[in-house]
Amino acid sequence: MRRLIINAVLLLGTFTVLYLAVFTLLVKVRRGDVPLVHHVSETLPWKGGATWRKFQEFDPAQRWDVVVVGSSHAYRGYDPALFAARGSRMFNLGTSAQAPSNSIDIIRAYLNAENTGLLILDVFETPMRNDGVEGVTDLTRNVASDAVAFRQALSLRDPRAINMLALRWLTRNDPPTYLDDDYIGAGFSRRTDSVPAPIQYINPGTFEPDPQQVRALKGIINLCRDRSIPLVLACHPMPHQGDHLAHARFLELMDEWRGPEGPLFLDFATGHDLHDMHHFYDHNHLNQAGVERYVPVLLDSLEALGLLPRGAAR
Amino acid sequence: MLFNSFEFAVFFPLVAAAYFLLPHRWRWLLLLLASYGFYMAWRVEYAVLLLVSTLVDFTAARGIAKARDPKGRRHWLWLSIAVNLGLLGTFKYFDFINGNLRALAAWGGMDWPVADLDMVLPMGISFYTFQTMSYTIDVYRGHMEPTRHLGRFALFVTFFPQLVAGPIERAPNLLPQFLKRIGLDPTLVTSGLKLMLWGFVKKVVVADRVSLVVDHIYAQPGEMDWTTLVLGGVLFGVQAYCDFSGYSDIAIGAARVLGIRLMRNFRTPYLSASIAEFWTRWHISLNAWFRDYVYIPLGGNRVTAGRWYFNLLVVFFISGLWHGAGWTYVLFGVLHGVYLVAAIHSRPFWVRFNAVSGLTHLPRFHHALRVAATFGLVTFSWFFFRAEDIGDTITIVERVSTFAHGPLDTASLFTAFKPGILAVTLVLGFGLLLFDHRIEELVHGTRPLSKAMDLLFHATLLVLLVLFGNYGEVAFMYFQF
Repeated sequence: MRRLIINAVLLLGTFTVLYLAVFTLLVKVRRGDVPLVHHVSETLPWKGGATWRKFQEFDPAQRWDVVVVGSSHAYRGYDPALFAARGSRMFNLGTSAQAPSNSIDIIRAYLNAENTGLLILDVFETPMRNDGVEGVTDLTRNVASDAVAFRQALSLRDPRAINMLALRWLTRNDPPTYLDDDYIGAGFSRRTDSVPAPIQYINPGTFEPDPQQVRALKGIINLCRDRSIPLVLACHPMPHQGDHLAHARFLELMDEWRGPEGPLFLDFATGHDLHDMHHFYDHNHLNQAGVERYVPVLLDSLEALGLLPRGAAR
Repeated sequence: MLFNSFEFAVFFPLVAAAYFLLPHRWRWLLLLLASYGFYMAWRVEYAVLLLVSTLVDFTAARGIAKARDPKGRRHWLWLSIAVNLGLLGTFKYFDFINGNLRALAAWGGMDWPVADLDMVLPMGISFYTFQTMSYTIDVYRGHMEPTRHLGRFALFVTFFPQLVAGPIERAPNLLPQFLKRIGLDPTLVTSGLKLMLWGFVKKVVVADRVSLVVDHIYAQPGEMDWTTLVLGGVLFGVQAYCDFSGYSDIAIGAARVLGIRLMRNFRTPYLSASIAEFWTRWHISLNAWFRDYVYIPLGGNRVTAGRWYFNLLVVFFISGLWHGAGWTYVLFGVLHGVYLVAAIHSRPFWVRFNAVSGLTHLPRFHHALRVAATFGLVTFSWFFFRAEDIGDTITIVERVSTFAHGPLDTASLFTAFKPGILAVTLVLGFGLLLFDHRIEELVHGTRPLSKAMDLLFHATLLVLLVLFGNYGEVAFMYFQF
């Protein structure tokens, strides 16, 4: 037994030295301006961009009337300026492909009853059937909190976590490699372009949620309840040619997941008069024209429900 | 449960620790419970099939031993074969046969009234039914006495390291090992873990990386030039080998940690100098099964030439069908049968040709030529194995044989993959092809290294596993068989 333990320790020691040597070499050796390794997955290769900037900007010590979390629907669909116009300070902590399994660690690390008046979680079919890997990659690379990065990496439960954390650690003092021109501030990224031509919508008509995301969504509901953070779930408009069958199934399941005592769920996916080409920049993301139509409707609902004070400006 | 999952990373050390802590008399029970747990982590309800197979074959073997006349013995044997092939036929082949009958009826202008069953293929059914059938046949032939211990027999059928993808073990090898008192042997544990590590590298680093390129090429074979299709064939050969032999290595390594020896399932098959040799190095346990339970009972090669050819074609037809319920698999099997028949039939010609050409005076060069030719033939057969359907197979063969759209148009690959990732993938794939035999020597200890070099070698494998592994629980290819 002693021999086994010695062998294991020797192997792990040698592996650690070798791994760090190779990884450092890959990160520090550059081809032009680009290091040989600058990402650990196919998505979100670079340190920097909207996620990096928003977590640098976000101050948990300040009080926010509204905080938004969620995926690209969230960080491109909820404009803080429109909230400010109605008298509410809002910060957008949405990040690329952020699924509930990613959101929960952000909430845990950054939000509480003191700094968050109302938490809006933008949720729809895609994040609920997502494996969360893209969100993990983005967060371990760019989130300011080491605790979130660590927890997110470990949530993968495979060796990619080692690479992600090593990359974060070895590049922690490097400047961001890009800034993202769409980023406006307060966590919001703006797109002003529209769908350039009619899109071929692919609608499988089915919705199979990922069990991990269902657990995480329920976890968020419990966490907000424990921390006394008012929570609203919202789904922003979907194009008229979107997958309505899948959405209907999603709505059924949402009722089940929230439970009878659960948080409010505001579904704006359908029943709107937005135009599939003019108010969207692709097959499911609102552009700024769409955001300017959607957010006032959302705010009207929140004010009518007493979740936000009646706005000053109209 | 997949070997390449977090669950297994927790499950296996716990089972191994409990195994060595328990007294010998209870270990079979622990392994049996662990094996059922391992299987039921995938699907609970299909454990019933394991149970049925176990109970039927245990009873049949006992019945054979007790039967007073050959007729009674035969009845028990056929019960075992019928139940096992019935399970296999129902779950694996029913829809395939039914679909073909429907197509035939439609061709004849008739409706086919039978609906498909549309059932999920039980994981490992092709493996455990063959393993448990071999037990009944061995008892029938008098090669062994039936076991009286239902629990240990159930463990023989379900032993988790090799339950879902082999090696297909034989009762005379595995059953007695469950009776042996096994102590914690650091040498065995270390070598088992090293073998598991190499298996993981083959699976997660090579097979799962290479599969991304292979999938891209085979998704639209009609869009690919002939050289890309050849590259796809070669890479699929690497993928299939690394995926399956990787699984076998993990299985053999895991069993070795527990002090149980399983048979070796692969021996550097791509170094074979003939198709016949290839089948003695590739999926050894399956081919030994076909040899002992199908080929030899048919008469093997101790018959007329025509009958011998027939026997080979039958065995490889069944072998193709065993791999999957589809015509592409059948064609793959039949093609290998044809290769073997052609090799036997043309042997006198090759003997004369080698003598006249002087190749017999250049043995190493001659051997290298034969290895290359064998590799080419096997690669050609992978087109049949990997293609989605017969239509794709025809497309691939046609494009390759007419040198369509050459030379290599890398645009499609570079559009789909980042150059760096593609380069790493190709280096890993071809690196394995070139150096597999050397690494196998190191892993299996036939070329011993100094302690320091051994440590460095395995640390390097670990670095490869962490840095270049393709993660996300990619199932093993052979689970579908």
